[in-house]
Amino acid sequence: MRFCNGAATVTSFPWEPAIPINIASSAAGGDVCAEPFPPFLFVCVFWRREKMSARTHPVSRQRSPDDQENSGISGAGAWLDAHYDPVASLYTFSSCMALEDLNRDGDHKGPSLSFETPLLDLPHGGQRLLHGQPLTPELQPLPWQQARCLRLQELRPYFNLPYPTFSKSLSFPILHIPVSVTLREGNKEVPLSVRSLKYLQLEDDAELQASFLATFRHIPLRRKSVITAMAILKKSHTEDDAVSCLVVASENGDIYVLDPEAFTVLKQFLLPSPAVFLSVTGLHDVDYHISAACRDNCIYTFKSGASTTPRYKIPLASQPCGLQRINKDVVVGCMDDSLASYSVKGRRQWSLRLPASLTCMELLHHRPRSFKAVVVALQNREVRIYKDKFLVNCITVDDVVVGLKFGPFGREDGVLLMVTQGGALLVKILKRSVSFEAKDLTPGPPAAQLDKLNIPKRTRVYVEQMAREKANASTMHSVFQQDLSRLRLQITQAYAKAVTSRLTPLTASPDCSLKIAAQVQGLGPIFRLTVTVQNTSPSKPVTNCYITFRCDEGLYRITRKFIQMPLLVPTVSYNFDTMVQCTDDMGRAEEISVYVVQNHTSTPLITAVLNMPVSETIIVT
Amino acid sequence: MDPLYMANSLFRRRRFEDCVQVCTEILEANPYDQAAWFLKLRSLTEQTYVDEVDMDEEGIAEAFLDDTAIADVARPGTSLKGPPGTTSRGLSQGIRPVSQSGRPLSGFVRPGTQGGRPGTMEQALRTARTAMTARPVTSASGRHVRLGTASMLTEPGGPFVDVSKLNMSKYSQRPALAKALFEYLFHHENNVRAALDLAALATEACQFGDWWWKIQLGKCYYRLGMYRDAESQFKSSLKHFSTIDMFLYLGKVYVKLDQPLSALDYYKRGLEKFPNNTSLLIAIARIHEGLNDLDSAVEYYRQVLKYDSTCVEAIACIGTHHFYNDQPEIALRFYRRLLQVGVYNAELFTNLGLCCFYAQQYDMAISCLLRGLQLSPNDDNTADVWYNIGHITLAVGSVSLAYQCFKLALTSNNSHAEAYNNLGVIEWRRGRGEQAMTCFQSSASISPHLYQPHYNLAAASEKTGNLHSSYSCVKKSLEVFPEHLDSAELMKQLQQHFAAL
Repeated sequence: MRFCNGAATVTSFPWEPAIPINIASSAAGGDVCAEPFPPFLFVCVFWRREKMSARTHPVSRQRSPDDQENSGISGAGAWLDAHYDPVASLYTFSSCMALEDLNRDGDHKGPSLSFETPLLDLPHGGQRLLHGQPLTPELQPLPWQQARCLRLQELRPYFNLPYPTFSKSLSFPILHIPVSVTLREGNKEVPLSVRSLKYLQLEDDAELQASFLATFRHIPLRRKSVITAMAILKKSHTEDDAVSCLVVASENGDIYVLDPEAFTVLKQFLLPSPAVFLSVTGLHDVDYHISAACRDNCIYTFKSGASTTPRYKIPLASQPCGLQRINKDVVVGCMDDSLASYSVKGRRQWSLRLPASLTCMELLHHRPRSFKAVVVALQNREVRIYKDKFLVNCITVDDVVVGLKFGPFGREDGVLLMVTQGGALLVKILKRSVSFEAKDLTPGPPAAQLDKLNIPKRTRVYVEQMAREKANASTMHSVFQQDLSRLRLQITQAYAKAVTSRLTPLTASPDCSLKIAAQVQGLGPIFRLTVTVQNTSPSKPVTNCYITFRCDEGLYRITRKFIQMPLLVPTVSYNFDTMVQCTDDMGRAEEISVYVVQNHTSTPLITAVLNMPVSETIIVT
Repeated sequence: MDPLYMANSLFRRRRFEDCVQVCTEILEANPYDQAAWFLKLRSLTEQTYVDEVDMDEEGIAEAFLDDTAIADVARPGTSLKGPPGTTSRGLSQGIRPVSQSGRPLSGFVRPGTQGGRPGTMEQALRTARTAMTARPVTSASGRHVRLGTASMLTEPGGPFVDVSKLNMSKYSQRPALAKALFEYLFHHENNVRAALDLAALATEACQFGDWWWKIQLGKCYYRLGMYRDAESQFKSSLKHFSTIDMFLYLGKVYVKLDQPLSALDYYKRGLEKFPNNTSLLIAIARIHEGLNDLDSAVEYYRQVLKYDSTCVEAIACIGTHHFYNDQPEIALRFYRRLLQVGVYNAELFTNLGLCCFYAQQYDMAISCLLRGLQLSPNDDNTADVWYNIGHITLAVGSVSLAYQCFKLALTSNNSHAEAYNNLGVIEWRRGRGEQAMTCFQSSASISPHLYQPHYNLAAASEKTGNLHSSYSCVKKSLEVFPEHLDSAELMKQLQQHFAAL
C-alpha cells in the first residue's frame, strides 16, 4: 500500500474546479497514542442531490455497444462507465467514503474536485450525519479522528468533539506493590491506563516510582482510546434527510450512541472485544439493533433497551473483513475467503467460498427496484455482487479495489464508486433497466444432485421375501454356503480342466505368457483367418512357437496348416493369416481350434476356438 | 378308403409329408387330377410356410448399402438406426448394458436387436457371424435361400412344378388355383420373381379389386427390396379391406424405410380397428424399444400381458426392465412365470439365479446358475453363464474365483469382451499392469461399443504416464457414452495436462 506523507493535499486532480467531490487528506501527526491501525488517508466523497432535469446529464455516459445486453455474469452489460481516473491518487477505504450533497442546493456540475481540507490526523471513518432540523443548510458530514470528532461545516472543520474521557473503573496500583501482583496474577482483566502501565514497568526501581508518583499525582487518570468503527442511526424518522445519531465503537470495547444535537452519550454498550465493523438498523426512538463484528471473531448484536451487554453472539470461523445487514440477516465476509449470512440469533443461513480473499464489502441497495445485494471486492481484481448466496454480477477492474460505495450520485440513484489500491477512482452507473436475477450460477453441486433419486418403491413382493428371509434365515444361509462350496468346486474343476488342457486364450505361466485372438473374415466359401498372437510378459521374448489348426477335414481346407512364428517381442502383437475354404455346400459350419505350440511339448500353450460362419456358397452357384 | 379323402384328412391333421406321399401316388395314376395336384401344392407350401409378418433379419448388405435412408443424421427420436438420442428416457449405459448398436439390451432376442448398424464393414463382417448368430449377407439370401433349397433337395424326382414352363396367364384366370400356386412359388420355391409375375397377372384378372393379391404383390416387392412399391400396394389393399396383417406389413415396410413414427402411426390405426390386438401391441412395444423409449415399451408389453398372459416376449422384456430398474424381486416373479409358461433354457435359469441373488434369496441363486450352466447349449451361452457367475463370486468377495470364472468365460467364447474387461480390472488390482492393459485392449478391439474398456484403458494409460494414448482412449469412451462422468473428468484432467505442457 502506498502512503502519502505530504502535509497537505492530494494532487493531480485533472477535474474542473467546481467539483462536488471532496478529497481531504492529512498526514499522520505525532500523537501520543500508538494506534492499532495504519495511518489512513481520508477521502470523503459527497453526494449532490439533483433536483432539476432540464440540463443535459452531468455524468458523461459512454454508451458501449453492449448496452442492451442482458446483465450477465460478466457484468459489462449492467453498468455504464461514468468516470475513470487512474491517477486520482486517492488512498482510502470504504469507511472513509460517503456520498452527500454538499451545498444542499441540488446543483450538480459533474464529477470534479470540489475542495480539500487538511485534517490534523489520519481519519478512521467518515459518515454523513444529519442533525438538528431536517434539511437545514448546515447539515454536514462528520469525520471522526482517532480521539477526536471533527465536524465539517461550510466545508471546513467545524466542530471537534472530544472523545469522552473515563475515569471510572480504572484502577491505579499506587497503594501497594502486592496490588500489582494480584492484578497480574488474577485472571480477571482490569483495564489499566497508559500511565498505570508505565508505573508497573518501573517496579524494579523504587526511586523512579516515587518520582513518577510525585509528578503525576495531581493529574487525573484518563484512558485515551481510539475509534475503531462508526455508523449512523436514524433518530426518529426513516427518511433520507432525517436527523441521525452517530454510533461510535472504540478500542476499549465500548459502543456509544451520541445525541445528534449535543453530542452527549445517549447510550453506551459494552463489548468484550473492540469492534471493527458496525451495522445498525432501526430508529433510535423506536427500536434498533446494532451488530458489531469484533476482533475476537464474533459478531455481537445489541438491542435497544436497558441492557448494555450483547443480546446475541455469533462466533465466526475467522476474522471478519466486512459486515453488512440485509433486512434481518447479517452478511459477513471473513479472512478465510468465506461469505456467510446469519440470522440475528446466529443461525447460519448460507455460506459460500469466494475465489479470492475479500478486500471490502458494501451494501447495494437499489431503491427504484428495491433490490438489496452485497457488493464484494476481491483480491483477484473482481467486484462481485451477491444476491443472497447467488452471484448475480461480476465486474473486473484493472486493480484491486479497496474502497466501495454505492448510492445516489448526480442524477442517478444507483452509482458504484470504487477506489483501487493504486489510488484510481472508478464511477459506474447501474443501468436503470437492469434487473439482477438471483439464479444459482455458482459452480458447485449440479442442480441434478438436488433432484430426488428415482428409487423404486418397496414392493409388496419385497416385503414378503423379507419376511421369508427372517423366518428361514439359518436354513437360507446354510443352503447358500453349501451351494457356494459346490460352485467353488465346479469352478475349480472347470478351471483346472481348462488350464491343464490349455483351452484358455491367455496363459498365465511365469515362463511364457501369451495371448491369442482369432478372427475370421469373408463371406465364403473362402475365408481369411487371422490369428493375432501377443507376448504379454513385460520383458521376456518367446521363441520356437508354431501355430497349428484343428478342424473337420471334410468341411474346411486350410492353406497354411502350420505357421512358424518368429521370435515374439514383448507387448508387440503379431498377425498371421491363412485362407480357409469351406468345401461343404449344405450350410454347415463347425468350429476351428487354433493352437499355439512350442517345440518338444505335446500340449499346446494356448488355444483359440473359432466359430465359423455359415458359408454363403449357395448364392454363387 | 378314397386316397383323396385320406390325403385331405392327413392335410387337416397337418401330416404334410404323408399327405404329399398320398398325393404323389394319386398323381402318378392320373397326372391331370387337379384336386390331388392342388392338395400336394398346399401341403408342400405348408411345410415351408413362414409367417411373413414376423420380423426378419437385416443383412449386411442392407445395413451398408442402404439406399432408402433419407437423412444420414436423422432427428433424435425418429430413427431406429444410428446412436440413440442423448435425451433418451431409458436408463444410462452405466446401469443397463447395451447391444452393439448402442441400444439397451432387450429382454428378448429377435432379429435386429443384436446387430444394429455396424460402424465399419470390417466390424460387420467380423461380429459374431457364427452358425448360431449368423447374419446373412443380404436378407434376400440367408434364411429364405436356405429354406427354399432345403425343400428342393428333399425331392427325389426333380421339382414338383417346373417354374420355367408355367403358363402364368392361364393360372391367373383361376383364382383358387392361382392363390395356392402363388404361395407355393413364394414359400416353397422361393422364386419371388415368378410369384410376382403371377400376382401381377392375377390382380389384373380381377380388375385390381382383390385385396389379397395386393398384399401378395406387396410381399413380393418387399422381398425384392422395393419398399416404396410394397408400401403403395399395402396401402391400396387397405382401402378395400383391413386385416391385422396389413398393418403389420405396413409397419414392417416403414421400419425398413427407417420411419418408426409412421410405423407407430399405422399400428395405432390398426389398434383402432382391432382393439387390444396383441400382435399390434407387441409391434408398437418393439418400436418403442428400438427408439430407446423403454418406459413406453414396457407399458405396451403390460397391455399385451393383459390379453395374452403367456406372451414370452412381453414377460421377458418386462422382467428385464424391472431387473435393471433395481427391482429384482419383481423381475423374479416374471421369470418364474416364464418357467411356468414352459420356457426351460440356460438364459432363463441364469436370469433367475441373478434375480434371486440380487433380491437376497440366496438359497436359490447358485443352484439356478448351476442349472443354467448345465443347460447351456453352446459355448456362447456357457460364456455368458460363467461371466454372470463371475459377478456373483465378486459380490461374495472372492476375487480369485471371479478371476477363474472370467477366464472360463473366455475359454468358452474367445471374444467375450466384457469378460476380458473384468479380467483386466482384476489383473490391474493384482498389480499386473501389462496383462491388464492387454485385456483392456482386447476387450476394446472386440467390442468397441462398450465404454468400460476404453475408459479403463485410458485410466491405466494415464497411471502409467502414457497421456497421449490415454487421451485417445478417453475420447472413444466419451463417444460411446457421452454422459460418463469419470471419462469426462479424466478428459478434463488430461486437457489441463496438455495445456500445462
